[in-house]
Amino acid sequence: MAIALPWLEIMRAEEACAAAAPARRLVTVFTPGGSVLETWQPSGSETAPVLSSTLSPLEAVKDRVLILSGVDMPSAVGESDQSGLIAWLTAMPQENSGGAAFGYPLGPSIDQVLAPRLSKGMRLPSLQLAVRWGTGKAHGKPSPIDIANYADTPSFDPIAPRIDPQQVWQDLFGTPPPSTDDAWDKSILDAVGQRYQKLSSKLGSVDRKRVDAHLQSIRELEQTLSKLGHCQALPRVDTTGYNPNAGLCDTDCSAYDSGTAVDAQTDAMIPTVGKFMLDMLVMALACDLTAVASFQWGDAESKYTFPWLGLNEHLHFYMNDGGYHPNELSVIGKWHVSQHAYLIQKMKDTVTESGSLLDESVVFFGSNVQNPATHSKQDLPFLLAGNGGGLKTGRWLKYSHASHSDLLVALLNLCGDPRTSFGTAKYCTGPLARLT
Amino acid sequence: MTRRARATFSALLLLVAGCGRVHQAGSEQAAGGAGGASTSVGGGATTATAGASGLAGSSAGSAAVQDITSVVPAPISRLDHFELNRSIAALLPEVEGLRPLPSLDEDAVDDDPGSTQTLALTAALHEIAHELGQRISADAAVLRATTGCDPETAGEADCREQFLRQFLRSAFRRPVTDDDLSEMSDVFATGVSLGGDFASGVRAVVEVTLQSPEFAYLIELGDGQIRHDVVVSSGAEGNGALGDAVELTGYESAARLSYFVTGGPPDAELAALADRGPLGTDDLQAQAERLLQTSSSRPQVRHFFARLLDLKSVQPLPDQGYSAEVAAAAREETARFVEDVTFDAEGTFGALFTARRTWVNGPLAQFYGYPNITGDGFVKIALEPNQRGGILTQSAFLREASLGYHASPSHRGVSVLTQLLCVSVPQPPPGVVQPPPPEQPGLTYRQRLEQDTSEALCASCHHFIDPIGYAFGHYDELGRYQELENGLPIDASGTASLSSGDESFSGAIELSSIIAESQEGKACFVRRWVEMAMRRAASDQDTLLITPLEQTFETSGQRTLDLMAAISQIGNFRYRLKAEVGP
Repeated sequence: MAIALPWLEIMRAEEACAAAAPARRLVTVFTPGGSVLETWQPSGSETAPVLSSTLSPLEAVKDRVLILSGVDMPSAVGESDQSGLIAWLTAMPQENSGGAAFGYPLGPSIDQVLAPRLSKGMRLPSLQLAVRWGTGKAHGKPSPIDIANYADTPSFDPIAPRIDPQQVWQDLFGTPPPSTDDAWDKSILDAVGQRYQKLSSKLGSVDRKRVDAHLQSIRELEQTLSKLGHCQALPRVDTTGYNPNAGLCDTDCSAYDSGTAVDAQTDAMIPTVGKFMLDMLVMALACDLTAVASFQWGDAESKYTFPWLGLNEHLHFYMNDGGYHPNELSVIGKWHVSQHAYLIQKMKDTVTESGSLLDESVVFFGSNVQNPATHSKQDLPFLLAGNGGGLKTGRWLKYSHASHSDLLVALLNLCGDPRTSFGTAKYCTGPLARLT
Repeated sequence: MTRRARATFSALLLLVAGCGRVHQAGSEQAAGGAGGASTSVGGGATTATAGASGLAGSSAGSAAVQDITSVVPAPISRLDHFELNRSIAALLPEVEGLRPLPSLDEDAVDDDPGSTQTLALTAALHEIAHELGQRISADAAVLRATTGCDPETAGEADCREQFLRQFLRSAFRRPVTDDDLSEMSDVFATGVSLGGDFASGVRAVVEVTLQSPEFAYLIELGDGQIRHDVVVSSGAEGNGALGDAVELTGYESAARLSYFVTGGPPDAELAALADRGPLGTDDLQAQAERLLQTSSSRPQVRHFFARLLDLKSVQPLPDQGYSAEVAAAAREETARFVEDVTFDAEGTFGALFTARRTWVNGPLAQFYGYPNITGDGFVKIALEPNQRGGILTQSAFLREASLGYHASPSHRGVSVLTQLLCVSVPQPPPGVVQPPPPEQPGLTYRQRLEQDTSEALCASCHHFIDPIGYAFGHYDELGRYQELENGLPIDASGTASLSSGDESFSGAIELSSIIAESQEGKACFVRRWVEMAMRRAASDQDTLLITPLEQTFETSGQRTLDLMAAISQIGNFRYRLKAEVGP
């Protein structure tokens, strides 16, 4: 690998002349609660942005990041916290069946639209991970307050993220467990394949086609499993003390609703678990377990605390429950951005057959609101990263009231989906310009 | 009778055809049949009722020329997830250490046995085989129960052979060949060399077997003998012969029959019968009737209705009080209801739509608003006769046929037409897929929809789809009964254009009665069961096969179990086309 890198850099320069291939992977990262505009907004010019204090952790990967300003989210109609999360990947309002309760969107999220295209033949069409999900009023269960991903077909069912880091490790990297299983699986599948081959030779053409298709799928599985072998290199991380279901509540949930039910031990583990989850996300992409991954730092109205930052009130307290606390929120925002920088760096360092994970991906970072106190939906804190689909990074693009629906169309286009409109039609005018 | 059946379907179809392109796959059978049927099967004197007819009792091997209709090309078929789960359970009986068995997700969307997209199934089956193999080899008692012998006392070679013979016989649903034995002995040896012990050999065999085509597919190669005395004719062509037939082996017939009647592999009695050679029509009839009296046929009937009503699409809507638990209970309600009607009570098609009783547990009763029922156990209750009766008024169907938060009459109309009346409905023209009509104060869903679809292009289809859906106006998107819709009176009246003429109704209960009595409903029900037996969708090629069965169904009082037994007589249970077999 060490000698391959410089060579790949040259390759990339040459490829830039050709038309950009569609992005091969999509990663979305949700951070709740918006941003303090004063400490978020960069300065400088489009091609030479100067990072603000909140964005400063991105310095090392600045050339691979595209900062967006002036993008509004007009489709975020509904409850003020929830609608932003719901619209974030769907560009659709919350369904409202008439009463006080708001529901889910009546359409898919972009990750689910892209999953069949990007993850074709992979073990998982998409992967959803979340840390400290389902706090507060979410009661630890799927609801419009905590779901970002929605199925691509009616009735566009909400897709709850995986929240237990140990279970995720088990599911993605835990089986087959011992390394000798590589040889075991190969022998089993070889023997199975032989049986299909033998049968195939006895059949008429129509039947043979079906059996051969099955045989082909066995070969594909063999390849997938042999790749899986490398994935086991990811060590399991001890997350003792972290309770993924800390927000779970069935009856008498007022302490959860208000945020007074604090699980300090679990919150203290957020940095450890977050890094572990991000490592697993990157490894899942690197191993082609999936090409579409979503990550959530909490839910739309997150009520976890930040003991490692010395901030012992919950996020929504600093936003508006306890009055607007811009200083604390800036510290929190900067920490989330530092984790994002870690993800981008990690993707940049992961070499693939044709470059790095980051070269071939589009990473979309966003939030449900802009102003943490007013929950406004204008000029949202959006970042793109990666160079999939020819995305041109190292820039700061300023728009004037561009629609986030258009941004989603552009992201779909970067990933090879040619549609010109997405979400509720009236909020969409076509792909957002100037990204490539 | 036959002619009338066709005419009626055509009548309904004309309406559909008038609204645009009719899909080729669905009910076209009627149109095609009307053209070709009257002149068909001229050849065989005994064949006017050929399809259902073996009825008459001509046994396999008889010298007279038999005309077997509708053995049209059908690729070998893969077991679906339900059948695979039943097969795994049957293969590893009562091994306590294996309970609960890992199983395939029966709701998975890619569970399409006709599809060549098999990677998902391959991966899932691999995982299950892997897990079962590990569990069997890791536990001495389980291992012993699986092999049926102890290598310590019986000797490793003898125990291995005993295990291979009985395990493969039961997994492959046919006798074990020398080839099987030698191949699987190699697999066993590989397992031993990789894992270092006898248990690893067993594990390897279990894993390979569960993924083998002989386990996961119904393979019908026949005995290789071409039967010139059997004429395979197609229903629609009229002029008959499609080609020579190959007779299935007794094992192949037994497997096909068993999967049709029980969703699982043959039991001991059927397997023993297959040992004696090819099954005749009398054997098939007797075995079908016997199996229908055992509990093993009940899951299959439940499975049939879950497929018919597409109940895997019953989606929870937790923020509206329709949790996953309630959704599962609603599916169970329908399953218990159809099982009771079919096996324990009326037994008829009509009762499925009209019986005024149901089963609920605590969460479901709370959802429906039935008082004083608690706990997870289901209890039988009588229904308020003006509000509910039959499968179409149960939450599972009503929810499945809704669109998300919307009790969409169009979706409900399409569900009834396509699933229960076998009328295919064209897709909306490209680009005009509309969201549900927006809320407007003072207007019901029906009024808004009528407004939105008043344009000629929309109306051409909606005018025949939506009225069926309007019948369900008193049930919201979850299937809760409502007297008023947001305070507005509900108009649940409409007209269905059927063979018997225009049938007017008000409400789902009246519509249900109309369907229960309708020629279309009964014909569609027969067709769906025949599709289960043929393991493929019916086409116009199958008209001559299905029509006599419709007649049998009618004269036997529309009893589902009698219909299933009668279907055991169709050609597919005994023959394949020569052209389908061999390279």
